[in-house]
Amino acid sequence: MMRHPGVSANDAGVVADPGALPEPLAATVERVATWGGDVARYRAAAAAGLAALDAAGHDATAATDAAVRALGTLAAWRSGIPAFRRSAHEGAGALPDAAVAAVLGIGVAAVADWRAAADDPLFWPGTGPGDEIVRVGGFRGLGGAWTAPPAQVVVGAGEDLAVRADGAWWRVELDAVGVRLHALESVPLGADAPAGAAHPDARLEAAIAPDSYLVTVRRRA
Amino acid sequence: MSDRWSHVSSSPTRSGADQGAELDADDLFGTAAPVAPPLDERLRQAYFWLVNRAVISPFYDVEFSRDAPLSFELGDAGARLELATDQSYSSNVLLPLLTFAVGGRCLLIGGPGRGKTTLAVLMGVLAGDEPAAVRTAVVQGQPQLTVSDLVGAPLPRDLVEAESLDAVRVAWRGWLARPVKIVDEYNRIPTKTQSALLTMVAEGYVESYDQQLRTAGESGVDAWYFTANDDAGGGTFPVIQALRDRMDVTVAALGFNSRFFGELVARVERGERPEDHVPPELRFDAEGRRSMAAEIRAVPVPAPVLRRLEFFTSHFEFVQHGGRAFEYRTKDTVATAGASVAEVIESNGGADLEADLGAQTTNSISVRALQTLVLYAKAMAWFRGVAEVTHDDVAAVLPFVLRGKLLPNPTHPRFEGELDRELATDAVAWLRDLWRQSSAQFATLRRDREDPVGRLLAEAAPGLEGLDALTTSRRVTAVESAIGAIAATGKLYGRDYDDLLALKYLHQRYTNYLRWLESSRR
Repeated sequence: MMRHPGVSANDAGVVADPGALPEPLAATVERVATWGGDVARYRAAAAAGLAALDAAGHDATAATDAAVRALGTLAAWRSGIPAFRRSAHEGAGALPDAAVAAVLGIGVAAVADWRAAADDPLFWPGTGPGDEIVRVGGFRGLGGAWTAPPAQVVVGAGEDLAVRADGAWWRVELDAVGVRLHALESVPLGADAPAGAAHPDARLEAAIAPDSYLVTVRRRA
Repeated sequence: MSDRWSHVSSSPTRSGADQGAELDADDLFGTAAPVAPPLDERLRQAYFWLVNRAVISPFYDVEFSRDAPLSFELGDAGARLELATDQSYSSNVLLPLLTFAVGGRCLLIGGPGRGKTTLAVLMGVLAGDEPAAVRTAVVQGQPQLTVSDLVGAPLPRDLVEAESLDAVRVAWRGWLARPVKIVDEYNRIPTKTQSALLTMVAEGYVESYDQQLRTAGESGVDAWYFTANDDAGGGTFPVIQALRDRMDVTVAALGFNSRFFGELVARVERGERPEDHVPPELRFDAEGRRSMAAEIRAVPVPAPVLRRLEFFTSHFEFVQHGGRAFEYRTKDTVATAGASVAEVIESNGGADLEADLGAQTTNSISVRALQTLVLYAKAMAWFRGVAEVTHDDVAAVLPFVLRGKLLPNPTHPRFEGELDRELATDAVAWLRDLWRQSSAQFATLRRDREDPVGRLLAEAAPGLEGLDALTTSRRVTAVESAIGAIAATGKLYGRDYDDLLALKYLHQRYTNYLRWLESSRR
C-alpha cells in the first residue's frame, strides 16, 4: 500500500503535470502508477530532466538511449517509489548534474552531496538530524491508510519502523522521497518495550498523537 | 479471437507480491527478459478472467481485510454490507478454481440457468481440453443412466470369443481420462450408477469386466465437478451418503446481477460462449497442474493455526449422555444406535448451550473433511501468495468444506431465536459464525497462551526411552493433575473431551512404561 500524505522532500509545493511524455517514457507511466508512484510528479520530473538533456544537446528520443532509461528510473524513484532507489543512483552516474538536479528538483550544487549519499536512504539535500522526513498514514476517508489514529509505534534498528493502527501492525518502508506500508502478520520485536523507547541503533524518531491519523517520522537527532 | 475476451491483465493480480523487491530500468521500460509468471499468479489471472469476462460474477463474499472493514447497516432487519480492505473473492468461482488446482471434487448447487455447468466446462478448458471436447464429455445425470453408459461397454466380439473375464476388453468412455470430469445433475442418477461413480471418485479408478482404468490421467491430478439443483435431498434419486461425503467443497452458484445486463445482450447478439474464448496463456498443461498441486501441499500450517483448528474440531464429537463409558459419550454412538442426537443434546438440561458449540450440530467432523479443510486452506494461502496458512485462509474455505458435512441441530435455540433466524437456511453464514465463535472462545479461554495438555503431549513426543522412574512418576502426577484441573471446573464440554482422552492416553503410556521399569528392576 502506497500512501503519500506528506513527504518532506515534496514540501516545495504541488507539481504541475506537464501531460504526455514522449516515447519511450510515455509507455512507462502506467507502470509507475501500478507501483504506487505519483504520476504527476513522475511526468514533471521526467519532463524537466528531458529538457535539461535537450539543453545539453542530447537526442532524447532514441528508445535504447541509456540516458533516457537512467532519467526515467531516477524520475520513478522521485515519484515516490523507494524500490527504485538503488537503480536511480546507479543510473544517475551516466547523467549530467543539471539533468539530475532537474529530475530531483534540487539545486545543481546539491547534486554532488546527493550522489555521495547513495547508501543513505534518508538523505535529502538540505536536511539533517532532527528534520522531519515523512508523515505516514492518514485518515482513510481522505485517501489515507487508517480508520483510527495509530495506537503505537516501534522504532527498530536503522530505518526499521512499525506502526499499530486499526488493530493491525504495519511495517513502514521509507526513504527520503517515498513511503510504503506493508501489513505485518506478527507483532514486531520491541512492541512490548515502554512507550518512547527506541533501539540504540535507530536512525529514526516517530511520534503519534491521539487526535491525528498521521505518524510523524524524523531523522534521529 | 476478439479483444473483448482475450485481455489478460499484465499488471500483477495481487499487489504486495513484490513487497521489498527492488526495481530497475528493465522493470520500468518493460525490457526485462520475459519470465513466465509463477503458477499462483497464473491461477489468479485465470480467476480474474473468469469473474470479469467469462461468468460475470461481481460478488465478493469470501472477504479478506487487513484492517477494519467499512460497514453499513442497511434496512431495519439487520442487513449489513461490509467493504473489505484486502483482495476478496467470489466463492462460486474461487472454490471451483481451487478444486481445479488441488485436484478435488466440487459440488455446484443452485437453480437452473445459473452457470454451474458453464463454470465446470471452463475448468475443463483451463486444463487444456478443447471446448467442444469438454462439452461432449459432460455426463448428463438422468434416471436411465446405467453403469455402462457411465464407464463404457465390453467389446461384443470379446464377449463371444473370450475364454475368461479378464480377456474381455472394455471400450472405456472418453470422459474418464479427461483431467476435468463433469457430472451434471448427479442427484438424477440411479443409486446403482451412483455406486459406480463413488468408486471412481473415492478410489481413482473404474472397474468393469475385471478390467481397471485409472481416472487420474497423465498428471495424476484430476478435478471433478458435480452439479445439483439443491443440496437438501431433492432430485430424482437421493444421493448416497458416501458419494455426498466425497464432495470436498459445496458452493452455491450465485445469481445474476441485473446491472450487468448489457454483457448478456452482447453475448446473445454475437452468439458467443465464454469457453470458446479462454486465452491460451491461462491454460495449464499436465506438468503445470502437477506442479501446482505439489506447491499447494507444500504450504506450511504454522503451530498457532493448527492449534486453533484443533480447538475448533474438538467441540463437535462429544455429547453428554451419548453413552455411559467416557469414550462413547459421542454423537456417533447415538447416531449408530439409531437414536436422535438432537434429543440427546436437548436432554442434557444442565448444559450451557451458548458455551457448548457442539450443541449446535448433530454430528462431528470426519477425518476426511478435516484433511480436505487443511488442503483447501493451503490452496487459499497459496492462491493469495502468502507464505503459510493463516487463520483467515481457514476461515475463508471452512464453510464451503463443511457445508453438508457438519450438520446443524435444528432444535438448538440459536436457530429458533429472532436474532439468528437466517442461519437456519444460510449454512455458509452459520459455519462462518461457528468458526468465529470458536476463535472467540479460544482467545477468551487463553488457549493460545496456555496449553498444558499440548505441553504434556510435546513432552512425550520424543518417546519414553531412557526416562527414569522418578521422572516418569512426576509426569504421571502431572497428567493426573491436568485431569483434576479440568474436573474442578464442574463442567464438561467438547473442547475438553479430546484433551481428557489425550491425557488418558498419556497416563496409559507412562504407567505401562513405569510398570515395565519396575519389573525389569526385579
